Amino acid sequence: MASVQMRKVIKNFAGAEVLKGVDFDIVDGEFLSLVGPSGCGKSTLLRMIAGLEDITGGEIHIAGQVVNGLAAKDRDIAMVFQNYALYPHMTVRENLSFALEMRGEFKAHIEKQVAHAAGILGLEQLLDRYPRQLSGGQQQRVAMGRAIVRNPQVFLFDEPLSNLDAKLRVQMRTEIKDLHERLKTTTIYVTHDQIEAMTMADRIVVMRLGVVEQIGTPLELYDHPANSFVGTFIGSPSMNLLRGRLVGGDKGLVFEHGGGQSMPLGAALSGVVPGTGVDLGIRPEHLTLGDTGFAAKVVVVEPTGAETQVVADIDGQRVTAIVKDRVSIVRGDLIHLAPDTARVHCFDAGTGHRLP
Amino acid sequence: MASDTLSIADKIIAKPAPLTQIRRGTVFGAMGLLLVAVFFAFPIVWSALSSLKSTDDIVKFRYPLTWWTFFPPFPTLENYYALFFQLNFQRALLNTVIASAGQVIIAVVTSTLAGYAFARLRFPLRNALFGLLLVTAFIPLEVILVPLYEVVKGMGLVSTYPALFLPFACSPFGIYLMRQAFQSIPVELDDAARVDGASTLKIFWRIALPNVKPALATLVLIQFIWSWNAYLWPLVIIQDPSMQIAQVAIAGYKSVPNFPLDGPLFAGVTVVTIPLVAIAIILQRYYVRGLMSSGIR
Repeated sequence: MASVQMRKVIKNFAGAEVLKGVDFDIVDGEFLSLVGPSGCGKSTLLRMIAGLEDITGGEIHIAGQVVNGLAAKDRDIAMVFQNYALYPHMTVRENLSFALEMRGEFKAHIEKQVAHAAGILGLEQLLDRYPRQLSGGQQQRVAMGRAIVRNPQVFLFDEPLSNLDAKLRVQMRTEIKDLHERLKTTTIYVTHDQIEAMTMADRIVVMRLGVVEQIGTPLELYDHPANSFVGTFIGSPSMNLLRGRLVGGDKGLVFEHGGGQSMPLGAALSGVVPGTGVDLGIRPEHLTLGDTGFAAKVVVVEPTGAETQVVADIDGQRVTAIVKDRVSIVRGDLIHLAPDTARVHCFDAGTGHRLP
Repeated sequence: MASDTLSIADKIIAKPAPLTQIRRGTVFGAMGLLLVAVFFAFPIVWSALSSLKSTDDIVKFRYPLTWWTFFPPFPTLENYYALFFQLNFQRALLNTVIASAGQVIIAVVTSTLAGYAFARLRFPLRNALFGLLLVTAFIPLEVILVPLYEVVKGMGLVSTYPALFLPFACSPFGIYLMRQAFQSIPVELDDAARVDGASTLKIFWRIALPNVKPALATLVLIQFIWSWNAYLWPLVIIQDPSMQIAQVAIAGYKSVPNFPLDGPLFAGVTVVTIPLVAIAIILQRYYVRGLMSSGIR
């Protein structure tokens, strides 16, 4: 186990800056998730931590040691790849033993370690099979076994669940989380799926275009997104953004939607200068179907059983609301959606930064 | 328009072809293949049958064409006896085996290493070098025969075994084949092995090489056939008859003045064909897969 630090890490590919000075710390034993859309640099950063990509600028520290010049094998990390990267010509046992063999460990010790890892992951019955004889979930487990067997300081996961079907993904999510709880090894987990990050990570790093947008616990990011990008990226269905401006009123600020409707926000956004162009962020579960609020026209009604998602149109802008009760509305109905003004978010329309 | 629509609809609901039709197609296909097989096998089988005739019978029944032109009227093994006990053919055969083994080993070593380097390592002018290498594949041996002879002579290798395979240590086709094969291995396997602590050479040996077995079998087969059938270069570079290879020795049986050796010649042809057929049968499974996976068909 070890802490990991990024110090102004920069990566250039053929003149293009892919990572623009990434700076954050991962504490010993933490489960940290790197999320962001494709091309945000999260996988590149992980590969740099692993030693599979050169570091153009800045420093990466593992357990207090600068690892910029260290080869992958000397960093004491283990990595699980998206396509598992199991050696196809080796049995599960050989796959698990390979790293220890490369380290020159004794046969008896290797056997013990392999048996231990196989025990943790329930692979005992599969040790003599080849990867092609395993299901996707089993292959995934072998890939994790290969990481565990080395007892590394840091686990690196590169979108390990994206090749699995939805049901197995949920199951493996729980297994990885459980594994981390048991082993307490520092874990860095890259995913583009914010639900994976939310459910598994102690803290999340949201990245976009090579820049860290926000770092925090899942609920911090959910409740206090630093900007409209993080607000819409975290949470599913994503946060609604209504473009408009804030104006002063008798009882505090009023949000004037671009379409003409307005909504008093009370004292919720004290400190914001009236007249500012804003995006009002409202989570779908913070919109209530009722007699007051924004007038909207129903576009789609999607019942999921436990709740109903209503997609509606407010003066040309689509919004999604989650309704807990059963509703009897249909496409074309006129409804009113009232935001929970205490829980709305306000972002600068120009910069996207959170206000106040 | 209406008839078009109808015909499409007809196609959609059309029943599968009746069994008799399928069988007829299969039979015609098989007959075609059989014809091609007979066409290719005929000279080999004819020379094998002729090797069982005495030289006199070969000459006597040559014309007009009768059954005895093809089949031995009085089967005998005298040609094989003459080949091995009078003409010392086993020495020529041994020379061929050494030359072919040398060629296969050296080509496998250089082609796999160079192919891996071109597929995986990053170095300046990589693609330009690879292009240049491919260009050399288009230079026929006849063009470079004289300068090559001068080079090998300068190295003092005339009439030695290395002279038979050293000039062909670098095989552009072999390198191309192996490069394609290595490129088809997911690069994550290399990454995983690197994280697991393997050096580049270890990755090559333990991870990459075991995953290109079909291409490797293809390479072995092609190099073996090419070297086994070599004629012109050994003829030029081997001047000591005891070092000469089987193909040149067999050709020599045709040019002994006033002493026809047609029987032993056919026996020799039959003997050198056997290993080729055997290795082709053993490796054919890999051979086809190797060519398919390298994108050449």
